[in-house]
Amino acid sequence: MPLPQPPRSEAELQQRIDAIAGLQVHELAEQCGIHVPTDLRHHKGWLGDLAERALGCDAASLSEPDFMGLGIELKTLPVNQKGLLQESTYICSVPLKDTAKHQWQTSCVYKKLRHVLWLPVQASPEIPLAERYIGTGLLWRASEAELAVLEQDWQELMSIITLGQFESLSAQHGDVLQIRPKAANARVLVDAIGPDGKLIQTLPRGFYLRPHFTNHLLEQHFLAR
Amino acid sequence: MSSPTDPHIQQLPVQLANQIAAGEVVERPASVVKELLENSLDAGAQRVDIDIEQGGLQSIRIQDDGVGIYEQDLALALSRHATSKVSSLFDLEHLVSLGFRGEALPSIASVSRLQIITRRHDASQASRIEVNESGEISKVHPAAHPQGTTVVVDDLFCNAPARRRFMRAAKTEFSHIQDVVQRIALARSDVAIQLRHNNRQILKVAAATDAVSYQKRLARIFGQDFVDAAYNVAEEADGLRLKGFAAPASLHRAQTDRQYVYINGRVIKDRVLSHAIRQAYGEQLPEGRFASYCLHLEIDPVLVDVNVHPTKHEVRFRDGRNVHDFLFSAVQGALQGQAAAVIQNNPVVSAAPTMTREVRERATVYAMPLRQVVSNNVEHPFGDVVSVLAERFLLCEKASQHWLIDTQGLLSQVYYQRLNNEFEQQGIVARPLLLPERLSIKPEQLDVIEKSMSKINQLGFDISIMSDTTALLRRAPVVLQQADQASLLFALLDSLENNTQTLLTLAHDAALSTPLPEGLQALQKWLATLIDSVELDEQADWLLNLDASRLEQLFPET
Repeated sequence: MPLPQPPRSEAELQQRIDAIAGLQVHELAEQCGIHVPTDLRHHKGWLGDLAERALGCDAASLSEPDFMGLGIELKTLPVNQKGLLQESTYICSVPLKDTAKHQWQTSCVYKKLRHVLWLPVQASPEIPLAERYIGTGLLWRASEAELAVLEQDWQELMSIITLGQFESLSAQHGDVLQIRPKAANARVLVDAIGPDGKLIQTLPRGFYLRPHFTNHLLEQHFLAR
Repeated sequence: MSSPTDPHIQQLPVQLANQIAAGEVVERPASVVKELLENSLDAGAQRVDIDIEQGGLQSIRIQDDGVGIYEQDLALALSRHATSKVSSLFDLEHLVSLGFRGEALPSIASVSRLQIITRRHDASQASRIEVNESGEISKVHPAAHPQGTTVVVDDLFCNAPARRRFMRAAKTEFSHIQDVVQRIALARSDVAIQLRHNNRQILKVAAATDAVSYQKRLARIFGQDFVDAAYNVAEEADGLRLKGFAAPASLHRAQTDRQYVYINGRVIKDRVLSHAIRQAYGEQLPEGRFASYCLHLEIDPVLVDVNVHPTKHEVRFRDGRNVHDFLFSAVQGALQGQAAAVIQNNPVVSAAPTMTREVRERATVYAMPLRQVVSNNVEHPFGDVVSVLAERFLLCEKASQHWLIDTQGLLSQVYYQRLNNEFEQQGIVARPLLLPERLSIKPEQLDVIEKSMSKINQLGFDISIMSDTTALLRRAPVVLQQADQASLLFALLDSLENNTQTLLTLAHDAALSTPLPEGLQALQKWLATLIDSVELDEQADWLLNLDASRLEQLFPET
């Protein structure tokens, strides 16, 4: 199967979502002509790449939503046997320098979470990757209330970053968003502004969406397991 | 360079002096909570309820059941350097109470609106006193209050706009409050503590009377993973005693938020102590990561000075190095397993594969003791669920009357009523399956699907045919979501093929595969909800009244 062009409408995207729901990972990979790794430990993000290829994502850069033309971000959600997400979901990296120029409406969190295609994928460790099932994709738009909660967290977290208070910044901050170090390797350091206003080196950080937010959303739209 | 307009030295007004002192004592809402909570503990409280509104900026309310304040002392309690806790330099050097400076209440009152309602056990009624935002103290009024004291602090920093501007979002302020309360909750496990934020319960711990209930409290605050893995620390030397728990380095965290240290029951953040403990962990902790521990140091009060700073977090030791070395070797020894072993004897239980877990969970319901009656927290006409028989029947008891309830019959009736209602009104409400289910189908089933697709959709199911032998179930009715969807669909296909009543068939089949909740308490609640939604009829076929005549019928030969 040739890789699809970017979808031109939500309806077209919905058709593609319906077409891959219920497939096993190896079936979808065969359709896309790619090889399934034995596990995801050394291939982080492989599932996301697979889904992007199968659905026709067209983002030119990391800061844009995956379906650039439609303004829709694709997020694969690894769900356990009970249909629940156990880990937080990575959104984008946290700007650590020049924070003053960042506004909520132009932030990457806002751009990426306003309109999302949530794609659940079975993730029980006892099932080999190739045999896991692709779930029912959910095209979702954040409500006003959800955006307000996200914005409040973003403002609080960004004010901590701006002041360089990395010491006090913990994964506990934020109701639905959190900031965590994102480097696979803790020796990777990047420039940031420290507590004294001086340039320091620290771990790169990412915005993550807490699982309770995503699970609540799944509960609202799907049958309970 | 002096000029006639240079100001003269003058005594500060009391209110201003208090506000300046408040700058040190009352840094943020959490400091108020700390001071008031410590007052409650010093008053011998056995339970303390803390209600916070908007991170404490709007309101802080702390109620205790301590000894209360004498009515005639109320006004004095609000003036500076007045306290019942110390009365001489000797007392100060042998401090056992948490507070002692006599600063907290007047300082807090100077930057808020404050109210105290209190009653001693021997007083005929409670009394109340208020301080308004201008620092004016009211007369003492009679009031209603059980024994103990309630302090209400409203509009903190209302008259200190500069400080108020420094306050973070309510959520952040509350997280500081929660930290204070949790730290104190582990210092004084004999006191029941409840913490609520905007009317939502955040922490509730009962008074811990033994090791088991203490571990429960520890697990509420530090997490079960800590309790499962932490080492017991218990060392004594040279009049120093260290007790508590330290997690192995493998449970390292990104923050220092689980480093609780106490000296003589007082919450302490001290560099000497944390340095010693960090050193004990040595190379095991990755760079930039922090250990978790909860440690109580007991030391002769003469050897430590807590009167260093108004917040009393810092201390000064008469012999700091000795304390440092003691702590270092005590913690290091514990981590190397020289001291008593892990808190619980059982090893860390890793998650069992799902299949075996299900079997085990069923077994626990089954193995419930026959007559462990669960308190009647959710009522239904048949009293308490006392036992589960054959994983299906509930034995209920009320005032020596007994009933047997067939959960499948009951569920079947409830399901049918709900499905039928929906079907006749807005149509059956359905939702997609998170993971669509792939089903192997026989040729005759394929036939039925193709012929009756619209009927199937009408009943809330959405299936697509993937091949001659495979169908994909995408959507099913919400009412039946607890049941096994695949089995439901096959029952539906059967029913369509044989022209039986589809809704009845669905309800019946769903009842067979709906799992029962686990535990008598959950069952009791579940049963009450179900019974609430059916029309109760003594003739109901899922209900058996086990009266004498009924039981005799079971043994006709005797």
